[in-house]
Amino acid sequence: MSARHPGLLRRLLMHRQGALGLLLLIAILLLAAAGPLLWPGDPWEMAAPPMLWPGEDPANPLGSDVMGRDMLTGLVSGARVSLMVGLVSTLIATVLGTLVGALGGFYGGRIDAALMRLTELFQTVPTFVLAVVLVAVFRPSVATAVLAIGIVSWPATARLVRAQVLSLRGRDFILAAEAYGIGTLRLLWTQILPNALPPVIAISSLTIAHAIQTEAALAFLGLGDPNVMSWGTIIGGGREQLIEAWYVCGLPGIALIVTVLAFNLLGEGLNDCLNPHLRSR
Amino acid sequence: MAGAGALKAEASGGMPPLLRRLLQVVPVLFGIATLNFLILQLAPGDVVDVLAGEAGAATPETMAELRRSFGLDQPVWLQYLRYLGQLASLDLGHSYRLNLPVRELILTRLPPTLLLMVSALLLAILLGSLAGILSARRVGGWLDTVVSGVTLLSYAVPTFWLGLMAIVLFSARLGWLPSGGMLTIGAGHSGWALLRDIAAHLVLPAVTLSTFYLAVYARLVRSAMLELHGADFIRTARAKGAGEWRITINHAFRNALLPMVTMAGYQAASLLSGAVLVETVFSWPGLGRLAYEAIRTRDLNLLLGILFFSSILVVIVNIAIDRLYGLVDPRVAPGASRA
Amino acid sequence: MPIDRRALLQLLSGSAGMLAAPAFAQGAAQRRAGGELTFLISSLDSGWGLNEKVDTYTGIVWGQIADKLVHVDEKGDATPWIAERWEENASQTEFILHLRDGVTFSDGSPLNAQAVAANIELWARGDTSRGVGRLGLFPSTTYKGVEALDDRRVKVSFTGPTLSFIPTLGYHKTLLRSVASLNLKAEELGNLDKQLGSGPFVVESWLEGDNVVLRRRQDYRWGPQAIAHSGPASLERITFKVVKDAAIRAAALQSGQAEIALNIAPHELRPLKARGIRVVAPDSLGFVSGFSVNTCAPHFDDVRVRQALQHAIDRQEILDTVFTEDWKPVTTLLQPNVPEAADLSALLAYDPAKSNRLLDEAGWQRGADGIRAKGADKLRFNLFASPWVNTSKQVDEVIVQQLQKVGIAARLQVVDIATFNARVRNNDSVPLREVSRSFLDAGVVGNVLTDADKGDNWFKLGQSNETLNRLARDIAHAVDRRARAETLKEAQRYVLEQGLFIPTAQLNQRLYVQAAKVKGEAYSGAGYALYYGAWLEG
Repeated sequence: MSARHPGLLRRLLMHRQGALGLLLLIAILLLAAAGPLLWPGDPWEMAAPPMLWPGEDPANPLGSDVMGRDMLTGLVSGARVSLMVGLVSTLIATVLGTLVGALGGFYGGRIDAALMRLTELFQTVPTFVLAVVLVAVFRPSVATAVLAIGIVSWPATARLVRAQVLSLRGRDFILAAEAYGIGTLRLLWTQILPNALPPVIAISSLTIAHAIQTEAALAFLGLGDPNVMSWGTIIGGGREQLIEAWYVCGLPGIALIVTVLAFNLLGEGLNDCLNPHLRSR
Repeated sequence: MAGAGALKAEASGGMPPLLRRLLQVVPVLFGIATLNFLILQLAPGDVVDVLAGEAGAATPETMAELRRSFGLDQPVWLQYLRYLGQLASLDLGHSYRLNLPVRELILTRLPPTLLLMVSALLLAILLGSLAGILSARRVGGWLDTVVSGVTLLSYAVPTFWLGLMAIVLFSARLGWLPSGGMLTIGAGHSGWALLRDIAAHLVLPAVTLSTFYLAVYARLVRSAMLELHGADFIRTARAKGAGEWRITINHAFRNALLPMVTMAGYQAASLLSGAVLVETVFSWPGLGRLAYEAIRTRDLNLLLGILFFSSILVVIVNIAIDRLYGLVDPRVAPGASRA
Repeated sequence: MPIDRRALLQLLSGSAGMLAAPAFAQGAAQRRAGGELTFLISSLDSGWGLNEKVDTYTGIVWGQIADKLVHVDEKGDATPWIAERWEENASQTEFILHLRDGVTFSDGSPLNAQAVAANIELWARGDTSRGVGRLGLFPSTTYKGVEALDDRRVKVSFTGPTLSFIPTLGYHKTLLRSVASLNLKAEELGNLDKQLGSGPFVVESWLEGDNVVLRRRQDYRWGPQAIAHSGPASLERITFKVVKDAAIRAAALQSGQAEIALNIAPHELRPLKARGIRVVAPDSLGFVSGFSVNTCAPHFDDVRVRQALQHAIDRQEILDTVFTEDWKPVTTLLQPNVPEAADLSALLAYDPAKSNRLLDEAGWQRGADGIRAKGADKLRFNLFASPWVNTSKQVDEVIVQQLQKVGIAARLQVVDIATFNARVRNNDSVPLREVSRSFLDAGVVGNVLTDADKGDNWFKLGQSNETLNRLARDIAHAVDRRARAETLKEAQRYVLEQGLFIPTAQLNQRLYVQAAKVKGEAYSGAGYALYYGAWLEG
């Protein structure tokens, strides 16, 4: 089963959507990494005249916001923040979700029932409202946003992992391993999880996309970190001048869409490549 | 969203389905009350801090007295038990901040939220199905490419951002539609004029919100249709000379209904989440905005009341959908459950 | 002294001073009865309950529904309204209010001495059994009691001199409500249908947190003397509608969907003005925007650090970056229209060289990262934006950058009201607390300096500073406004010199952006609009 990995990248590149997603993502990553070298400076510095339109002044190619901060510097710095928020919160969600799903699926019975009730609880509570509660209540910062998003995003992963574990549990090679007397935890760790992982990777890509959107939405409500320039922060700050200078909200929004699109496409591609039997659908 | 894994129907039997469902709900509601109660206990500041106001006018003595009158001075477990007792008797209490009964507050805000959500969902289902059918008719054709491009894009666009941009374009620049609210307040419209007024206000928020759901339906319909393309009964129908559209509507589309209904039930849970953002952007007088204010002001009774209420709503929708299964596809027993 | 001398003077000299100057100047145009006004407001979320539930937004709505005992203008002078005159004893401890005859609440019940007494009692003491706190600004610490002498005379007694009593009656929270409204159950107090006032408008319909529609009261004939209008209001209806986004309020105003919008972001004002829309920034009594300094916070017990901060802030840059020409530079810690305000601009001059010198002297050396340090101790702190002032975050963003230049690292934090009151207000690790406080009588200044007489103790010096103790005592015990003004000026100088208060900009918490056709509106001393005399041109 692990033999599928060498060919994954090639298969992904053959997949139209997956390849596009991968390319977009690489471009965004490059921009986030190289941006500070190409457009150095503090994104908070109020250096330009306020509310310059994009193209109005070559010194600020994408214009400036209401406080005279360069939009391009802000967008590039925001890319790093948004990607970081997406990745870390997804990591939290994936670990939590895998843990809950694997334990529930593997042990079954009461543990499973309890864990599934917990999952159900988190799926009945409006997740965004819960995230807002968490962030509002514990002072808005990047850390609280990451934690809050992670905490509300795990149920989908948990259900997926549980379903995978359940289906693997009855397979011959697991039964055989069990018969050899391999400990349950080791069995879970060495045999079941690696085989359950591919769809988790695919769904993680979608979770990242959603996490990035959620961070922006939190910042839009004024619950962003006031010391960190994220795309959401720029949108939230530009809201007051929406009509006169819509590009302040518009540009980071477009950056956000491209990024989310890249992750969605990639997730899609991964899904198709990692689950070939679903491919025909 | 991202809930592909959550869609798998889990079969389980036993008790009468409705009763079983209702019993399952109790621990969830209990959990919700507990979860939110705990989080708000951890929060810095309570409603008395909010009431103390800007001048910080209240003396420590007054604040202590207020806490006593709200029961906030009691141990947490006692407050918790008291609240659970209240809930058990279906009394949601009153908002200390607004000095109004929570039930009344929720009931006045519920209809606007429902109107917005139901229209957005219907719009999404309608447009999504249309897009799905069109793209499934020739896989890989230009229409398919365009439709899948648009749906992917709509899935990536944050609703609040789309709302802001829609206001800039359609309200501020073009002046076609009102920028917010549910109706022209104080205009005193009635009958058709009132309906038209509400419809004009509804267009932007409903369309904005529907983009979020639209992509999901387009894909569901498309794949359901493709699955059926080669099926025997479709071929038979074609051989009988049924028109292409009739086949689409009568057979294939009917089979796509099942996953769509499932999806609609799943999305009921995200109802309030979507409402917070869209209602904020469009000044829509609904539950989402009320919930957000309740958070900001530590209005515990109100926030818990809203969450409690919305959970019950989610559960009711899901039970209704269980029933619907039987109608849509007689092969599915009404007991089959989804989360 | 049967009538307040100042009030009489005002009446004789004509009441031009208390009307919004622009509206009144064009007063030659013909008044027109009828017409509707739509007012877009940022929030109506505080509920319709008693006392402190009236906030800066609901206060504007209340101003049309309920009357006050006196009207206070932007100079802090009280003129007759429901109290047609008043007497006070020489020691300023007893006041007798004479009420106007024939005033009724909108349900027909009389606004008599008993009703006024019930209102005053509730302001002073609150009713914690129903969750009603006392009114913050009311001089409750010296309050003794209230008594209805007969149907139209109310006697209010205090244990000490209380110069601020009469002006406080014009505060936006000292609204007169019917006795039945005051006595509602806790879960009914917020029901606006049952909250009755005696004002020129009555509630036609409302939706909590979203809108309020007011209708003119036909039998109203007891408006404030200061407003040049009699009989019922001219406007037929006023609709208050919540629109959270400032930009969308501006857009609705431009497209003619509304006549007035509250608080548009400063940068959007210029284009609006260019399209003939009027920006009214009524003078508002109170403190300016700024920070009170907690001397218990690490490093801020050193006067040199506080003074360095005072001179490191470029107030002109704040005006240029965040505000417009509608904001004037600050000269002291009091708003420029406060009669007792001194011109101490020299103490607030931008002088980074001086700041650097002061910090060097205090032993704070610049580190490699540009931040000053003393050993391992860095000169850095959290700066909390005020949750009540919408421009606060932007101002603080500018200040963070300015402090960075002299080597002070301030980290901006944004929290909500509950967190601010619970974790920031009395937190000794937070050196700067943002102040946005209005008052109607500058005597409040005496109450913030120390903790004597339940004082607010802004600088956390308790009663350890002899100068502040003396100033606070003299202000509190003053019985003459003119003598008190001298003490107040001395207090301002001392507080600024010591770097105990760091002013930033003039506080315009209520900015009315309105169509040119709105005429004849007036504003109270704290900048609250009164649309009793307002009308719409053609």
